[in-house]
Amino acid sequence: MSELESIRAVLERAARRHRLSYGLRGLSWGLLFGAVAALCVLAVYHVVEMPLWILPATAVLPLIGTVAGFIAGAWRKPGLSEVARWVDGRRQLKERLSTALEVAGTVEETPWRNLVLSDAAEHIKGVDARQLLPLHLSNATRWALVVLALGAGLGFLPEYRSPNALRKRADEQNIKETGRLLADITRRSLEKRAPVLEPTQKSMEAVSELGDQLGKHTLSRSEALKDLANVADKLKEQLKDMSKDPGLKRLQEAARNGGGTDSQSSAGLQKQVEALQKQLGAPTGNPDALDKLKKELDQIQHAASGLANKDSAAADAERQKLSDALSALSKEMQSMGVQLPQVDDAINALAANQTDLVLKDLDAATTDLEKMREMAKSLQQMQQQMAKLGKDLAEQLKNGQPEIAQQTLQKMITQLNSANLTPEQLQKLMQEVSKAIDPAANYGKVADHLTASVKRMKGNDKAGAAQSLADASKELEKLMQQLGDAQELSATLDALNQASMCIGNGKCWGRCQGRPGFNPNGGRPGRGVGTWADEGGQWDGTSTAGWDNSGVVRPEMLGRGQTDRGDGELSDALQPTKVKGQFSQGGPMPSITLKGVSIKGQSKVDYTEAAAAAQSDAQSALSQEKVPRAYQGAVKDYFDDLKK
Amino acid sequence: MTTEESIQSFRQSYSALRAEIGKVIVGHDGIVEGTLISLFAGGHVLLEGVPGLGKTLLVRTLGEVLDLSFNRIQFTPDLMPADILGTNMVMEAPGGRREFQFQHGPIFAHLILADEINRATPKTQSALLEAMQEHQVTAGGELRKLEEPFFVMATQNPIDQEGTYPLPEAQLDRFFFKILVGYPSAAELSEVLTRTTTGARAQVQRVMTREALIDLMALVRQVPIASHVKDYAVRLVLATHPKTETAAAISSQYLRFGSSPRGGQTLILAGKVRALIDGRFNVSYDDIEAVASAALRHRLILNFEAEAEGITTDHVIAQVLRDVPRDAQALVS
Repeated sequence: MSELESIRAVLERAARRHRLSYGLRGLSWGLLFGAVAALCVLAVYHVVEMPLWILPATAVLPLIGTVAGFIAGAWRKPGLSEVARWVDGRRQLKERLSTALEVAGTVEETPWRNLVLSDAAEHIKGVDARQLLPLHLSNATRWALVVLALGAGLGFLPEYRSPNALRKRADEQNIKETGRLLADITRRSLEKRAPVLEPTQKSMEAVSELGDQLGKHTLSRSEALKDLANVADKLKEQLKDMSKDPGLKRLQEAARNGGGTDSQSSAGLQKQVEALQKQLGAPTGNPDALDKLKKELDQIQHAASGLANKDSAAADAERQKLSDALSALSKEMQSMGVQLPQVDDAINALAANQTDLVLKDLDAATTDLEKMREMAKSLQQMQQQMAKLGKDLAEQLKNGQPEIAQQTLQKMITQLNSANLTPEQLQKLMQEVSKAIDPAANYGKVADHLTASVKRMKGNDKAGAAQSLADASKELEKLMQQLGDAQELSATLDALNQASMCIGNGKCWGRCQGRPGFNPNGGRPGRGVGTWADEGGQWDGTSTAGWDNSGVVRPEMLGRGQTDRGDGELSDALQPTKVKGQFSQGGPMPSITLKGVSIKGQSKVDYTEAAAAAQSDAQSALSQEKVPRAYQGAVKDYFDDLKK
Repeated sequence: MTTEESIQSFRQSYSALRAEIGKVIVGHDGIVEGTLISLFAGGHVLLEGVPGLGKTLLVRTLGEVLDLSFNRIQFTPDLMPADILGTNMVMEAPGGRREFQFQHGPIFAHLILADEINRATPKTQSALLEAMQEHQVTAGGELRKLEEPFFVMATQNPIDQEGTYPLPEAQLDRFFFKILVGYPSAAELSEVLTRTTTGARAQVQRVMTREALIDLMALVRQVPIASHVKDYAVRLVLATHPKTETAAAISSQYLRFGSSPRGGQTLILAGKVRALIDGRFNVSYDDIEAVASAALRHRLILNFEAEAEGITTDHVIAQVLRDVPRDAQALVS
């Protein structure tokens, strides 16, 4: 290896080492910058509302800084001449290496070239790149660690959020939650019953999509309400169009009045009534009578519990009295047809002075009586419902009971199609159908089909009549489907309104039942006092959250600007003072002489002339170097300003 | 003789010169070194100091140790240029015919001691300008070459002394080095007293011939210098130019004029001599810095502010050396 090669080899090693060292230095500084940036972002995050993704991004910042710093540091490969100069400086080689490299670059081989190379090669022998440049992280790393620790510490501090920001965040979460629920409800509704009409299907899908959109995207309250209002308007329009159909209108009225949309037939109801009567035993008392019996039994039970194994003459008298009451109650029950053997057992136990047994029997009797009362109530409701059911097709249509009317029509079709239909039966059918034509006028084409059926019956065209009745049945079916769609739309609209109310009031779904001010449990809207009292609601005697606001702290509503103003006396500085002197044309101005003696008299020189003279003197002093150089600029500026 | 042998010879000659001069001159190592550096670089030296510090003795001793012709000119206020350069005189030829003959002045020697140069008037001082720069004189309408090597070793008292005339800037610039001669230390003074108050007189020998000196002067100019070291010298000179982009702050504040290019030439040449003296084959930053004061101090013209504040050119040079980085594109360790 020649002298030049040996020099180059050492310098290349040093260059690599130097590059790595620069990389490490860049790494340290990159880490420091990244840590400082992360700390700043964290600090800002603690006082300013920012998106949540900022936090993981902040955590990555020091890492990015480290990598970027290392790359930036190690990016440039130092040249050999640079390294030679650096080694010269570090090892006090008096520029031997750098001169040798430069001289070696000349083509001409001169004695001086050889001398310089030999000298440099001799001096580079002891140079070791590793000793020359030990690798270590710079002090910036320590500071970076300190900053990172500060950042970690900052993470434990709670963030400050303004009331507005908190409200906004709560709104966003509420909007998302409401959107998800709206989409969920609409989707379930669609799964439960797919709408028959395509526009209804589309509208409900639009609501579902809106719910998804609210649930996924971050929208402001006004944006969300606007979107909801748009869709709600469309649904209202659609409902309005549907309600123009008279048949549907009639069905809706009937549905509102508790009419016959119930699919239970009169036969089914009759069976249920009979079953209940069989359980209760005939003749059964009405629920009120049973209620009265229960109250009496409760009183007796209360009296029996006070008896509690007393053994005295007074107690015997009480027992006798209780026994009499129980006997009277038993007779009353028997007269009402109510069979409760536990009452008789209780009388016997009382006679045997077994108070515990008496209480046990009375308890069982009370339970049975309660059950009977519930069954009687159900029976009464069923009977009322049966009373509402139409007896024939005309009444069914009149009452708005299309399903039952359909069943009736089906029976008629079966009769018409049967071979053994007598003329009397046909006549009876014709009369029933004729009677139903007028009520059917509200059901679209049903009346037409019924009229056609009557005509065909008159012409003894049984098959044709049956077909007309089938058409009427289909028309009813169609109307019912439309009604179903309308109800679904209405429900969806309610859900939309509820979502709007939730978002508008910033409350969760469960706390926004019904329209604003509307109590779903009945009663008048609002929960105030007087005429708007919540009649349905009952106070449990302990909850006061509705009106007691003591202990609620609302710093944003605290009074401002009210400070202690002292005793109402003005300080001396604020006392009014009188300034002497007067402003008059040509007269002296009132003035205060702060220091020195004022020069009396009037100036006869114009101000501009005085300023010009002063400036001239200054210029002269400057040109004659009377003013030190350091002050020349200031002096010149001052006198130049006098011009202005 | 090979280059290596020439270099060896240079070092031996230098050592011999130092040794011989050291027999007479006590201490003043830096002054002797500066004078010898100027000698090998082929430059003139201006020695400045109060009277009695050995300036004249140093130059006279140098004349004795070198096998060169030596003349001493004592500058006085009535000295005329012709007294230095020479003049045409009417002379009687052997045939009885009278003719003008040029009578050579004391300038016609290899080594000139211009003693107390600032006691002559500027007119007389200027008589040296052509001789110092171009090694020739024009007298009696004829151009007369001076024999090489030609050195002017001038001494002067500080300019604020009585009866002195400051040297013109043009002449100052022609001096390679301006060396300030200071007072000796206690030990040196004691040795001076010992040597000068006894009967013993040191005898010095001629240790270098004219030809050897010319060869060594040629050798000096062959010493290689790296471009970044040369660049450092350039940046130093440029830093003394006030009110320029390259000026150091102190230059702009206290200088009226900076160094001429001769300042840069001096830095490089003196650096080369110093490298050879140090046994190196290349010039280093240290060489440039070591000679900067002597090379530049007489080439900088102070302004009024510096004069008023008592700032000297040595202050300015020291600050410039601090301000100007050695390597403009150095790697940071």
